[in-house]
Amino acid sequence: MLLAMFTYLAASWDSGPLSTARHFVFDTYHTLAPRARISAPVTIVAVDETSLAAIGQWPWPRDKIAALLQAINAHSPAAIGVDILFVEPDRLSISRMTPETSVPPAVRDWLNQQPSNDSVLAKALQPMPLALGIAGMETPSPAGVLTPVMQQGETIAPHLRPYAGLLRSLPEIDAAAMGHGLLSADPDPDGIVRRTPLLARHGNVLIPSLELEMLRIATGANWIDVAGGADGAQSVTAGELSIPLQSNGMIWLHYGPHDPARFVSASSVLDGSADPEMLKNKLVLVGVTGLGLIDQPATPLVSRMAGVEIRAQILEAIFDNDLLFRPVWSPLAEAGLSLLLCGFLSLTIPVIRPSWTPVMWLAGSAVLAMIGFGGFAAKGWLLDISMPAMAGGAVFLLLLAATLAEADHQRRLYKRDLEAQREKEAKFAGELEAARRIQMGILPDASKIRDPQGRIDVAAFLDPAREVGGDLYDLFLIDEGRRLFFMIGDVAGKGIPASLFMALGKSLYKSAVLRGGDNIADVMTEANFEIARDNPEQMFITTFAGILDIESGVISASNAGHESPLIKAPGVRTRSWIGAGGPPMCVLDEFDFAGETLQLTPGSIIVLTTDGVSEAMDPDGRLYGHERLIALMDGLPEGMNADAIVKAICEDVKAHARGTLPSDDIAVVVLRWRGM
Amino acid sequence: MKIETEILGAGLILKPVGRIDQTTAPAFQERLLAALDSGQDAAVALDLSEVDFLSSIGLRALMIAHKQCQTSGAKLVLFALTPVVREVFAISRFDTVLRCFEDRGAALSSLTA
Repeated sequence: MLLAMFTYLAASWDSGPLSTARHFVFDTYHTLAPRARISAPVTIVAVDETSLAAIGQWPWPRDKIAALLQAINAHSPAAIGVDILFVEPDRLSISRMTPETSVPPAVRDWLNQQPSNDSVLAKALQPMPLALGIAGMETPSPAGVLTPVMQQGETIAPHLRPYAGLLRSLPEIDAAAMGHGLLSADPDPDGIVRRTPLLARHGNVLIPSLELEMLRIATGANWIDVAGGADGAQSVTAGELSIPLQSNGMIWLHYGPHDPARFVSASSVLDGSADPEMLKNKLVLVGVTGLGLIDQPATPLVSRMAGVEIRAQILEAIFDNDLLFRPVWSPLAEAGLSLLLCGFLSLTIPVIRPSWTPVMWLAGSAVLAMIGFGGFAAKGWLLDISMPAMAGGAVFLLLLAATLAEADHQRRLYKRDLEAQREKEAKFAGELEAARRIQMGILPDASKIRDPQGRIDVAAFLDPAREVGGDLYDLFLIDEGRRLFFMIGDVAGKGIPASLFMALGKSLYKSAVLRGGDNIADVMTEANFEIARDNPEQMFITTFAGILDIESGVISASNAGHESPLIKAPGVRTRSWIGAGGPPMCVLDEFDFAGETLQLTPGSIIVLTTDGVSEAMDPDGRLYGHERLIALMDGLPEGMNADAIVKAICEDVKAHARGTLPSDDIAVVVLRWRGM
Repeated sequence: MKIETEILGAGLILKPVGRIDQTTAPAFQERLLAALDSGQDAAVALDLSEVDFLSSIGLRALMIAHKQCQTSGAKLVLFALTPVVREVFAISRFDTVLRCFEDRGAALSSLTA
């Protein structure tokens, strides 16, 4: 794609859409490094406002112009170039005056014998080292006599600016001049003259410019040599002076600022007041500068400059060897610079942070500008860096867009991942929450267990440490309300697996009881067998289970590796009831658990806890311990109901922890048997 | 956690040091099961003299080890229980499941018997 772009741009170099950008680049070079006027080989004899005021309005009689040229020639200039065309006969010639009133025949004869002003001019300039201007036209006309241009190498004519016809001075004057040079210059579409032909063509006849003819005359040469190659013109030689040409016979102008020191007023030459040094051995241009008389083309430096001063600048630049030049290799160099810049940007932009990409682009463009301006200032090269700059800019924007798009893509991916993560966490939290609700939901509501005669009073509390835990308890009436089954347990483990195992254990326990377990030892043995069968995670449960005969106050209980419950009878110190039993559920797949019975005295309280109570830690790591629980129980007033006792225990544990989060589940079950 | 190992004929003496709790139990369990898995006649004597805390997770590791022994025929004995561990064993009644001895000599002689 880039290659196609370069080909197109190279083909449309002069008229392409990018010429504006290129002109801007070249004009910028000019503004930064205008040409310095060094040797000043040119003087302009200007028909200026002062001259018009002194001599009279333009056009002057040609004998006056002859006088002017003779005055100049008297100072031995190197060459004279006349930037004036004498196309029509001079109306002011004495011989053309044909008075209407009758005059003496002698006078008429005298008038007729007088030479015309045109003849006077022709005669005057005949011996002078002088070149007359001619103008190129698009209207066909014969070329006329021109200085021979000797071609070496390939014929260059097809590459030059063609003119269909030439506008020349009257044949009498034209023939008298030593040289003839083209005055025409084509401004660019924006009205600025940047290039001028040193050679143009009329058919196959080559036409030198006025400047080239002046140089030829100054060097004493009789012809002009031109060297050409396959691409067109290469250089033109007049005498010892050789000037490099663009292939189309043009040169690029390197302008300096307007300088009044170039000018001598025509009137001062005529009245002899002009400085002879301004004319002696100089290239003298004669032209009209008086305001309103001539067109003043724009240059890269100023918006108006007299045409004759532009010619003076051409001659100065040639003399000071300060011509601008587009080397034949410049398109290659420009394409190379484009590729280099694009390559540099392509390699750097994707790997650096997006905020640094403008820096890369600016750096690349700065190097480009230094190369372009450096070539101009040091060598007079006109390298068009607008194309590499634009190609680099396009690549920069593309890459920046791609980089930003990629960054945006990554950000979206990240955002999506984050959302997915949050969703997952929320879902997990939701599942935990659901598991907790299920776990809490399967625990019985102790307040609903009532004996119609009020012989029992039960309360329970469970607080999981990490949303869901492995502690459990169960309470339900059997035998039509005559007996109460109670149990508390602790699964070794935490989290969802422990809570699932707890739920499983609780239901298997209950089914073992409801299948008619009168004997607590048999219930334990059967429950152990059932629970151990479904234990892929190899967990175990410590339990304490018992059956209270509500009428008699006899408890039969069994302890499967659980903490001993506390029993407080009225008027007696609180004590542990170790009781018979066995290892925790599932430690042994089959085990015959033992049971033990105990006769309660009315008003006795049984407190069942899990190790979340005894091992609750304070900020210093000290455990709550059995002794503190026993002391608490001993300190409680007689007749306190079960609910208040549970609350008192929980408050005391909380007071001990002093804000330390519990590391284990806490479960408390309190039974009170009031008796008959 | 640090577990000192002593090779003794066909068997091993493992001596865990410190707490066996939620954080250290997995490593303890892995080491213990690997020792019991070393061969048909694997025998492990667990020196608990440096264990000052044993949580239910630690008990679970011992339970799993015990069950593995029941299937594989390997032997596991414990000795020199600290008072804390002794109490845990008493409450959980693991002392009825696992073979516990007062000292090293008694434990080793039970293994060779």
